[in-house]
Amino acid sequence: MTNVWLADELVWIDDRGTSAGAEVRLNATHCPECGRFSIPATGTCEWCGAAGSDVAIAAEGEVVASTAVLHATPGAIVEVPYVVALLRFEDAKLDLLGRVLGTDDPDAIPPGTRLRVVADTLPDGRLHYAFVQ
Amino acid sequence: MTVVVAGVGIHPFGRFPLSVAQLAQTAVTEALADAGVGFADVDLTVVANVGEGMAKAQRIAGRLGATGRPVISVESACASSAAALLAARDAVESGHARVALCIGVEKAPRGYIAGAGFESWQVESGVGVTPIYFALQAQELLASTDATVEDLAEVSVKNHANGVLNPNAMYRKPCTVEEVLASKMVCPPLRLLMLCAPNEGAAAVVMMSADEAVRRGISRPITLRAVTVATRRPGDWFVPAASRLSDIRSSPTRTAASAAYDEAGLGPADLDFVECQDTDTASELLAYSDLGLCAHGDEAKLLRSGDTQLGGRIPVNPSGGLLAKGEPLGASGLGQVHELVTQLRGQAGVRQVSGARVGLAHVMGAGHVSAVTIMVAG
Repeated sequence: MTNVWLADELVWIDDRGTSAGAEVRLNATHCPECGRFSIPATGTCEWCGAAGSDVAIAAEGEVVASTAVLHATPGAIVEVPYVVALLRFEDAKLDLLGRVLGTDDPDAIPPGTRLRVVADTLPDGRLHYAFVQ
Repeated sequence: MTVVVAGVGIHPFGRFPLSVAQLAQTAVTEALADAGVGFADVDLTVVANVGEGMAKAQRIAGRLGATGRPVISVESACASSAAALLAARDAVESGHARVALCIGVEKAPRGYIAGAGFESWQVESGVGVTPIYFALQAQELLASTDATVEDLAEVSVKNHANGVLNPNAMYRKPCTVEEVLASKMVCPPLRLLMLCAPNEGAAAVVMMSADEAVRRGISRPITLRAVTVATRRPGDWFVPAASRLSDIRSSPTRTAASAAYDEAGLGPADLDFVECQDTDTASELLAYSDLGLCAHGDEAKLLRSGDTQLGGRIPVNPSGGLLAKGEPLGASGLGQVHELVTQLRGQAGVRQVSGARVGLAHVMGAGHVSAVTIMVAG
């Protein structure tokens, strides 16, 4: 069975066949020139412009800051309220914005909280990455 | 070549049963009359707008006359006005235009500013929401400095108090810290009265060389000393980026301000007042340090000192800022220029910054665009 992702380029190719709730690694472009990683993986380093290649980065990180979306936004298919966080991937030296599952309270995941990256089923059935404690 | 602002005009910011072209016409008519020129004298017209469609600049300028001269459109989200200033300034400085006209105009829908450069996956998955970015920035400010939510409320109180004095502002009611902290939560820690509201309005600016102003007998031109526009560098993070680097932090406002101070040959200590992008109240506090008014970490201290109030050492947003005026995206930056010129001419009435000689305007827009303009009386 093929899983349909909202944006499959965000998830490492070997993890795209997984099901909801399972841990997934993120897909990033690694730059051979400056050594930096960028997400989404576009094949071009976001920072120096050199051509790079896709790599998998860690499925776990640390919360830097969090907030909540309490009012529906035009175009969003997820239901409010929900929490979002900037999650820090220390080795990749990247912070990524994502939705946090399992809580409506940003204070429940203060800075330093470790979250895992998992596959989440969106209301329309497609999969997307999300963060969970 | 020295470039001056010879005339400014504005249509008040708010909600009106008028088209964008009608809003613009009011502002342009006022600006042309203020400069003592006609639309037939304008060599280049630059229109800043976000929300209108194809051929909008020509539609908007079409109400003013068919002169056959170039009319161009620029868009850089909430910094669109600065892009117009940059294009017009360069055209005058290079001699390609003797007289240039900038028009900023917008009829923005109510609510969150949607479509701020996000990819569709960001919008659909619920992370393409502009206030998230301001809220996370505010959370980091609260966590890393001694700033408190009360300080976030005090910025709103200050700007709304100034807005009461500005007939062009949409919200002309004072508010208290208690009212701000009791207003609806949008994205913690930001509440409704800590965020500006998109609205409608127009502003226009007539530019020419200093020589042309003398030739036309313009008595009190205002000198444009710097217009700088900065975009993302590694270390910056703003709408609509999905991610950022974790090990370096920089700001497009710092980049734009530093370039503007170099261009003007002036520094933060030379400023008499500032109009800055108070999209939310934490953004105003961050602008204090990014513009060099204080060190990072001292933003709340500067606010609490009263220095940034009207009557203080360096008033910030004497017009009421976007919090009181509202945010007509394409027009907001030229609205700031209108305030700068009004203050530098000593014509701001009850909200006059006494002895105002040097003013700075700062806008920031989606796409990591930050722009700084510095103007000097005489």
